[in-house]
Amino acid sequence: MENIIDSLQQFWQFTGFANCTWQHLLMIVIGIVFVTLGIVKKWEPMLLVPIGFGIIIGNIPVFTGLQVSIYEENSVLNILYQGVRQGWYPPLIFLGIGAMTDFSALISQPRLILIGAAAQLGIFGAYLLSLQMGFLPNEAGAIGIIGGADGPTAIFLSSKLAPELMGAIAVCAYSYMALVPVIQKPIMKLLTTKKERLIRMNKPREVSQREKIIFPIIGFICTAFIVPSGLPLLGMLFFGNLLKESGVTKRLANTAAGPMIDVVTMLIGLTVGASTQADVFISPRSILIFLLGLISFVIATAAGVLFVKFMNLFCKEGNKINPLIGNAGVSAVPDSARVSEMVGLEADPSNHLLMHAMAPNVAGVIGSAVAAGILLGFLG
Amino acid sequence: MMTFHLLTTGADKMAATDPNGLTLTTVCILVVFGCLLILYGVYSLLGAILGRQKADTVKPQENIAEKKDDGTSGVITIRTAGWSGNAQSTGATALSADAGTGSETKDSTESTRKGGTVTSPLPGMIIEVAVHAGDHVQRGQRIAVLEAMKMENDILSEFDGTVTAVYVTKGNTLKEGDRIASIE
Repeated sequence: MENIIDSLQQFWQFTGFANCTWQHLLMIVIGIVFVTLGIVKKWEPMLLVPIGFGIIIGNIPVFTGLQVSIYEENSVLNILYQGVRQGWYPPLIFLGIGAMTDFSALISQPRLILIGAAAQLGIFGAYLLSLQMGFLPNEAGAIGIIGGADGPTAIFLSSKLAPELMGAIAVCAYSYMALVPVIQKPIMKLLTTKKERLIRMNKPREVSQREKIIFPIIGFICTAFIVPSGLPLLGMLFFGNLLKESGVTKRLANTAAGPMIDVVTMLIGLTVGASTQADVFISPRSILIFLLGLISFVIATAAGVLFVKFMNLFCKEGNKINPLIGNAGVSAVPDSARVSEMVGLEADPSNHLLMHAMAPNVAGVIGSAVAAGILLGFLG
Repeated sequence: MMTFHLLTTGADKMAATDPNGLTLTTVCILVVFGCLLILYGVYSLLGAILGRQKADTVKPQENIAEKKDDGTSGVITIRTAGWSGNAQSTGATALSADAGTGSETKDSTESTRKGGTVTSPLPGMIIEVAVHAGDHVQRGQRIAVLEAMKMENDILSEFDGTVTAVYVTKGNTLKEGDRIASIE
């Protein structure tokens, strides 16, 4: 009889109940909140549901020594986590993104690439502010990349620069990407005049298949020579795009853009969530991170719009750019392009800006990968 | 060289040498812009060598409308050849007359004067066709729904008239400028 009671007591020590603290419970609630936001509000559900559930998994109280925690070597979660920790999941996602992205809007209007560059000012604005708020340069760099509005890039950079902040940075990035219509619209309206919103852009020219094939090859060589530390992301992005456009690797492109990216998305979300621990997440610094993330989105949007207005000073009448596509440099693809379309239609119901806005949108993907590369080079 | 110095510095040392982060920020911004400027140059060159003819330039007088504020919709009247209508005061989306000139294979602006050809303003997929040949339609009436970038766009008629032909069915993938329906 005593043996049974002893065993039961031992068993109790193993359970989550015995090892539970209020921090664990709070994080589990936070995980449930993100799952709910993903399912009910449809905020980037493909990422927030895995991240949210991962937070729940990672914060179930476990008895150390059971070899299940994500930070215990050789546990299942730990092995899956290596893709994040060593930074190879994000490049694989970029492979899929490249394989599903159509860059022809950009190829036909190359000047719109510069909008993608301007929007990355959000990253550096947030970097400077983070430094002022007391973050170390490597942490500030990781926080700044939220403004790139690119989930894999944010996870990639923060895993290398500030892994303990990665959870907060990732949920911040995806949450604000979901909120892009809410954040960007007022800024776009504030910074543009009625006349500017009515600008009609020239219909872009047709892009030949040959151009679409040469684009990723030349694009990669150029960017990789300038920013070699961006090699993993840029290489995968352009490789995926080449698979799509070559015409002879359709199966590979379909797999990259389909099953492969789905597998990696599930694992990256889950393990990023599971790596988010209470002691880092529940702190005043997380609130600062969320605030800085929002500011970086605001700066990025404003920078994109204002840069278009600046470019228009040099454009002939009839060849001007509608500043409402400036926000699309914030590379939440295609959400910010959709915002351009919506705001454009409000001003003029027959002025469809969506395809024009896709050019800075995809340029922003390249821009944020370049920015991440350069930050990694300096701060890594 | 300053850049090289920064590159060999760890983050903690960086805090000492560049406490405000301004040097790093400036260099980074210059690099990002420089990189993308180079891409711009390369792709422009590529386009010049390999690309096809540019599409027609929008003429300035067609760009900005004389704003007819009828007070109800705030919708702008676009004055182009053959079309002087306002969109309905429901604020519905009207099809651009420009789209009638859309496809590069159509070579004249006459196609807007022929009137009645509703074309697609965006590439996308038809997810609904709301009219049949022989139906009488009014200006602003929905002809079809086009899905582009996961957004549903109503394609509306800018004419009163009778549908003489419908060129699409549900599931068709369209390019910008492809015909959807003719209305006489």
